[in-house]
Order: sequence, then structure tokens, then C-alpha cells
Amino acid sequence: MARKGIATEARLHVTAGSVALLLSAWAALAAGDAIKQSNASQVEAVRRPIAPNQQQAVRAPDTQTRGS
Amino acid sequence: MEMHAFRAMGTEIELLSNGPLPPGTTVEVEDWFETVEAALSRFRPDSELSLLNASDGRPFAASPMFLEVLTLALDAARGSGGLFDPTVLYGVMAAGYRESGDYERGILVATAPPPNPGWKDIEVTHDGCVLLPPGVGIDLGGFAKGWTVDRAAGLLPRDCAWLLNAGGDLIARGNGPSSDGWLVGVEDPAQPGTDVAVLQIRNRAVATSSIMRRRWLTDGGAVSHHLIDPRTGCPSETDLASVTVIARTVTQAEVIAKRLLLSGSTEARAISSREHIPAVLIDSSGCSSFVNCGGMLAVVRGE
Repeated sequence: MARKGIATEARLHVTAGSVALLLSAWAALAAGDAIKQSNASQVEAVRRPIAPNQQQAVRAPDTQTRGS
Repeated sequence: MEMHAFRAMGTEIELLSNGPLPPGTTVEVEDWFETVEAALSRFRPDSELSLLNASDGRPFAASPMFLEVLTLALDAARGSGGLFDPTVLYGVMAAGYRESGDYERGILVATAPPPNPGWKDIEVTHDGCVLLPPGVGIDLGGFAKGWTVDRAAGLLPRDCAWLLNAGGDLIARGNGPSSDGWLVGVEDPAQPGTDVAVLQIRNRAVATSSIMRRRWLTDGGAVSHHLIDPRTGCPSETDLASVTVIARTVTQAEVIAKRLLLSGSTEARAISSREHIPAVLIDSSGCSSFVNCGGMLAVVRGE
């Protein structure tokens, strides 16, 4: 009887923890996707690498802007 | 491509053109820069600006040119909610930057910042006099340089492509030397001389505000720089290293760039997005954001 009770309690504990974990992960994914989608239309890129053909298509800059 | 370079306002000035310019044009442009510097430099004791700063509250009869620049600067202060404020002279001097080129000397003596009275205390009378309260000092810095470039553009022909760059504040006309726009590198503030991106500019102005170039150690061991936050009177503690803005005029780009830099990265991204400002924001960790750059972004350097 006691062993059955312990087994039941353990299953409940594992189940609750797994659900909590799944809920947390899902929330994080949803939040991350939302941020990416809202940012995509406004903030275009953060240091993305350029393709080799893109480099060759552009000649050297004519000048430079820098703080003064 | 033709190139004419000279030195003015403490920096290198480049005039690029897609062919020869009319005779006398480069001399006119050089003379114009000298005229403005003679009137608006805080480093020249006999400039109109220095005389105004020494007026100690007495009415100062300003020239039409000076009134135009001052009025535009006050409008910019109003429009930026005071984030751009020309009355930061004593703040930048307290930070150690007192004489031209000081920041190249390594260690500068810093003093406590004075109270920052703000632009609202300046009065321009109907007969063209400026009333500057005692203790208030004006530094037109990069604003005057940008304005000079904008006005110099009026000296250049409208029927050829050219680019005028004053130490990073520039305006470009036409399609550039190869009809693919003028290509403007955006300097990596952490690696001077290298670019984080290349912009394609046609009939637009570009300005960059940075805390990484005019930078020094104080005698107290702190790192300091020339960009004063009007809200504190001290060098800004922004997390942005540099901001590059594209606008219709250099004056506009300059003011917006300062406003974004002082706002910090999160607020700068929000402002740029909300107000549709094309901007390159580089934070102190080296992370770059490109906002509203659209078809003007030719190259982004990878890691």
C-alpha cells in the first residue's frame, strides 16, 4: 500500500515538473519568435556575414564616415 | 574621379567629383570653411562665438550668419527635447577638453561639471542681439561643421556628381563615379580605418557621432570623451560607441545622431524605428544594428 502510494506520488511529481518545463519552454519560444517578428520589420540585421559574390560586386568605398 | 583635400575645423575635408569642377570652386569652398571657422570656433579667441561667450550677459550684436546658425541650433535643441543642446561649453571644458586637439595629449585635468543651464536661457532680440546669461557658454562643435557642409553644397555645380566630406560629416549629390551611388564606409569605432558596413548614398547626407575618437584619460584615472549629456553636464554614459544617420542635410543627420547616441541603444533603436530614421547603431560591445537602411546598405562586414 505504502509502495503504491509512493509510486503514485512520484508519478505526479514527475508529471507536474515535466508540464512546467514544457510550459516554460513553449513560453520562451513564443516570446522569442514574437521578438524576432517584431524586430524583423524594423531592425534589419546584426552583423550578418556577407556572401562572397556580394563582396565582389561592390567596389572599394569612395570615402568614410566616422565620429569627429 | 577628381579629389581635392584640405584641412579645416580641426579635420580633413575631402571634395570628390565625377569630373573637373568649374575653375575657382575649390578655392570658394576652402574660403567658406575658413570664414565659418573664424566666426564660430570656440578655439579662436577673436571669433564671434568666443566674444559672445565672454559677453557676460550684455547684449551682443551678432552677424546674420551667426544668428542663422544659432537659431538653427536652438530649433534643434527644441526639436530634440534638449538632448541636443549647444550650451555644453563649460561641461566639455570641465571634462578636460579646453583647447583644440587637447584629446590627443593623453591625460587631461578634469574639474567638477558646472550646472548646465540649458538652451532655454538664451534670448535673441528682434534687432538681432543675443543675450547669453552669465555662466552660460555655447559650443557649436559638430553642428557648425555640418551647417558649413550644407551651405558649401550650394557652391557646387548641380550638373555633376560630387561628395563633400568634412571629417565624416558628408553630403553627396548624384550617382557617384560608377552610377552605383557614392559608397560610404561606416568606420568601426573599435578599429579606426576599417568599416563595419558600406552605404550607398545618392542625394543624401550622412553624419556620425561617436564617443571613441575624441577620448582621453583624466588626471583622476577615468576615461572621458567630448560628448556631453545635457541632462547631467558630464560626458555621456551611453552604451553606444557610435551612431551614423542618413538624412537630407548634414545638420539634420548630426543632430539626430547625437540624440540617438545620448539615448542609449534600446531607446535609439525604438526612436529610429518609430520615426523611420535610417541609422547604423554600434554599441560598446561591437554589435551593430541597421535600422531603416533598406536599399542604402551595400555591404555588412561579418564576424
